[in-house]
Amino acid sequence: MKKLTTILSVICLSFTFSFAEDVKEVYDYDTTIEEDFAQLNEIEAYVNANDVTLDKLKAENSSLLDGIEISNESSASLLADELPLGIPAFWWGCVLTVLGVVLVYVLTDQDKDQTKKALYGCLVTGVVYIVLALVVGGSSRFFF
Amino acid sequence: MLKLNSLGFFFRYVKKKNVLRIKKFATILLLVTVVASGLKAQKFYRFKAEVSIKDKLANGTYRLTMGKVYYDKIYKKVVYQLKFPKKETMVVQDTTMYTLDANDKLLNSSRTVLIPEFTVFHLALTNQLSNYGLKGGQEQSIYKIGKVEKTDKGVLTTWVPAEERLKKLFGDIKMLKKGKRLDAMIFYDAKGKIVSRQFFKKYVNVKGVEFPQEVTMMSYDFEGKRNLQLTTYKNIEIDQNDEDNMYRYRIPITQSAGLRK
Repeated sequence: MKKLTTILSVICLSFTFSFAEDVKEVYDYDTTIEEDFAQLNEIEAYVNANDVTLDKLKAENSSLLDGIEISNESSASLLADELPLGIPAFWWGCVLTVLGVVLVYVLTDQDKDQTKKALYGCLVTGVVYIVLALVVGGSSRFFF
Repeated sequence: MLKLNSLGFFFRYVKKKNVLRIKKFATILLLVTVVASGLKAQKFYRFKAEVSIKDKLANGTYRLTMGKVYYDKIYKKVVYQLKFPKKETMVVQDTTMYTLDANDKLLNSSRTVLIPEFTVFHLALTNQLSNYGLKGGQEQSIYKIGKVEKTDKGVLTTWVPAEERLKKLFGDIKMLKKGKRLDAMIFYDAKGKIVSRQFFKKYVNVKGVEFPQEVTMMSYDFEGKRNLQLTTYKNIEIDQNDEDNMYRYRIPITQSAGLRK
């Protein structure tokens, strides 16, 4: 169980992961990031001063929203309602077999459909393993 | 006879003096032990801050989330009381996230992988933030230290999956520490490509708890396009005595049973 918890911790660290290409290993903080959020900083200051919601801001026809598309949803880091790494349940079962099925069962809050998919993945691995064992076993008999 | 009496007096005198010394020493030792154990036993249990999360997604849209966050190590609940984009409360408990409106009406409950024990709040309160909780205790950990290098930027530690079969799913994690503070982390996928970078800046020390006021995360999609997230924390409070109702936020059970997926 403790091991499972540890696995969950790593999953928790990485739930926002996606797949990348050719991103360089840089440890220097890119200060230009601040510029990306210049308009959001202005909105933040206004919200702090006036205690308004996004709907109110839109109703006011605020110029603060000009040229920017803001979602009405909270940050995805709070919502995190997907399987870790975006990996489908089937592959969790396929790669981690029984452990994968248990993980999917726990992480999806006992979602039967997702757990069933993970179970299929687990079964496929099992079938492939048996077929390979038979083929390898059969061919070794053929040669010897 | 006189000589013997003198000797007896002398020994009694020396013994009395020693007893006094021992008593004095014992008293000092006791005081030091009490103070030292008191310091060691200093355990933090509550975190509160004003939080602002700014997202710039790869598709060009933005998100702004503002409010307050409460965390109590004992109740193991993360409570976000948001004021923007909507006035709502989000409570993370076990693996479930509950969303309540401004009138405390339960709107939604959904599964989440945001586990309270592995949030920055818990890690900071338990003094584990410097290694992001990767350094396991006695239990078998999923990650182990692969390499430690001293660079001009700080100490760089490479964490690798502890078992071969886990390497099919998880990649390495590189962690840069400056002094005792976690400064940057780079996460790799199982194929060795960078999937996310995180920076921890503007540390403050509140009542002995080290906490970064700025956490920046960059994650990358299939095409290498960047999702950017900047989380800032202000007015951090440790071990707040009041607002107990926020830390232990009670979810309406009857509603939650109906909404549970």
